[in-house]
Amino acid sequence: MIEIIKPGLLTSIQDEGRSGLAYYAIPPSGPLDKTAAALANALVANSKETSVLECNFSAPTIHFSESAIISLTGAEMNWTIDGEKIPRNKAIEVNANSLLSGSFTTNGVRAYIAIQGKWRIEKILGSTATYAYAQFGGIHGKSLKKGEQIKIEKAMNASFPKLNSEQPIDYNAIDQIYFHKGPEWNLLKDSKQEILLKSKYSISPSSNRMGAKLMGEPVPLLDFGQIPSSGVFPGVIQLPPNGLPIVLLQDGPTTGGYPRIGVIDDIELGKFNQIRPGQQFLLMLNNEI
Amino acid sequence: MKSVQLNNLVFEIHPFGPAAFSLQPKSTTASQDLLRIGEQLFKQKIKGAHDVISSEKDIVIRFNSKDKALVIQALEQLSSDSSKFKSLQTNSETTIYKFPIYFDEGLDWSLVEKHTLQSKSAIVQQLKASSFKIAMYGFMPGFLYLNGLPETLHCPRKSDPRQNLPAGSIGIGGPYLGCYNLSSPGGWQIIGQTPIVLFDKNKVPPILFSVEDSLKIETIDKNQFEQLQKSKIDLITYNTND
Repeated sequence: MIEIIKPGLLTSIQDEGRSGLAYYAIPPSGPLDKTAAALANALVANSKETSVLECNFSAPTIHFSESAIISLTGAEMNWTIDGEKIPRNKAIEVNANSLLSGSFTTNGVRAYIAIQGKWRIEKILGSTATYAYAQFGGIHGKSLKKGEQIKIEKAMNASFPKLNSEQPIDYNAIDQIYFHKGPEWNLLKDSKQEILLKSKYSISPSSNRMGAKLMGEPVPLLDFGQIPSSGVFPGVIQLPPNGLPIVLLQDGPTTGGYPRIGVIDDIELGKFNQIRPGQQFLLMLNNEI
Repeated sequence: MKSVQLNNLVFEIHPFGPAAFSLQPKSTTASQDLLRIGEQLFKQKIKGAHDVISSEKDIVIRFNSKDKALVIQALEQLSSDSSKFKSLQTNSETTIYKFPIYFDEGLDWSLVEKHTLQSKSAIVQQLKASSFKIAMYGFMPGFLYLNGLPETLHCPRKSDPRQNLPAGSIGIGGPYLGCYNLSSPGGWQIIGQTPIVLFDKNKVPPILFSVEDSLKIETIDKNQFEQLQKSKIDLITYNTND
């Protein structure tokens, strides 16, 4: 069992999320950086649908009452166990009665904690993923609070995983994000496309798990008119009339009334979600389909 | 494959990144017909696809990029053999529900009055005389797109959405009346708030009334609004109580 001593900033339980419910406006949820979350589970030999903890900006402090095999991936939160520094992207043995702790991130934004075994979390609509907007998944549909406990049953034949460590990604060096054209890309005239592709953007601090607002050079559309609502999903880049793109994220809407000028694929979206506020990047058009 | 024919409607298939298609009708199509086909496509399941999102502009099909060929094959089959595209049974059972709204403190009344060139009281009268039905689910869980808004009351959405609207907010967005059943960000022109609960997170679909049913708006004052909100009453109970 683990217990949350300090919750960090919006630390939540996530898993592969909810599939097949977008028709009813229920978003997939799940980790903002799927690559890092999947790596965390793989490192401790968990099945890929096992829950993980997603940490944002700041590390939680967690007490382990029993020994466990864990891994830490994603953002660098300078993790320590009982004060001793431990590396990311590597399976680590934690002794019973020890304390995992860390700092504010120094590289990237989202960190993942995987713990070997079976997590005892109730599934809502097929998933344990926390979806704070509608308050379901995780524990009471909210980010973790001080004193909350999670029961994790050790696997019967638990052994130390063989997968090697992986070199952490330098998220602070991300300065370009690739996207594909969306269905309304052609609403942007050439000159507007050029502005979008040549301007440096950053992510607004008012972003959340539903969507990330970009800051930078606006590309307002003339003759905006009435655009009927159309289908959207995580990674879709919308362009509201103020001309500043919004990237929809894992807890985002399933339909929207703004033109869909692009879409960022899952792997690239994981990178995008590691970009810190103020970190500048270029939007790069990927012409492959 | 560039197009697909469903229920005698031809759709262009637009790639939407590596793991989705946007199916868009080739000719002008009533949004109701489009939503109906989206519903059929969702309910009969397309091999290889994990999600179908039906809207008034297009039908979005999502899949794992490795299953793209499977999805194309399934669409080809539906297109070549119209008998494979099962039509849905329509349920003739309909209920008309009273739907209480408190209009006085709507945030965007001045904008709506200016845009429609009508007074607030004239607008409320028109809303009360109308009958509203679910046009589609979408946006966020619990949000409802309702059909039935008189054309003279259509208003554009806001250019910069609000960060947070209280649960029950009622707004105008384009040709729809919308209801935010959970507190959420939103870009519609807010004219009122309902104290009634329409959403159940453990239900699929999570809305307490069905696409066949209608809502009739009734106006309530601040005192009634506060009483009803405190009681957390849901739509069905509200309508069976008196």
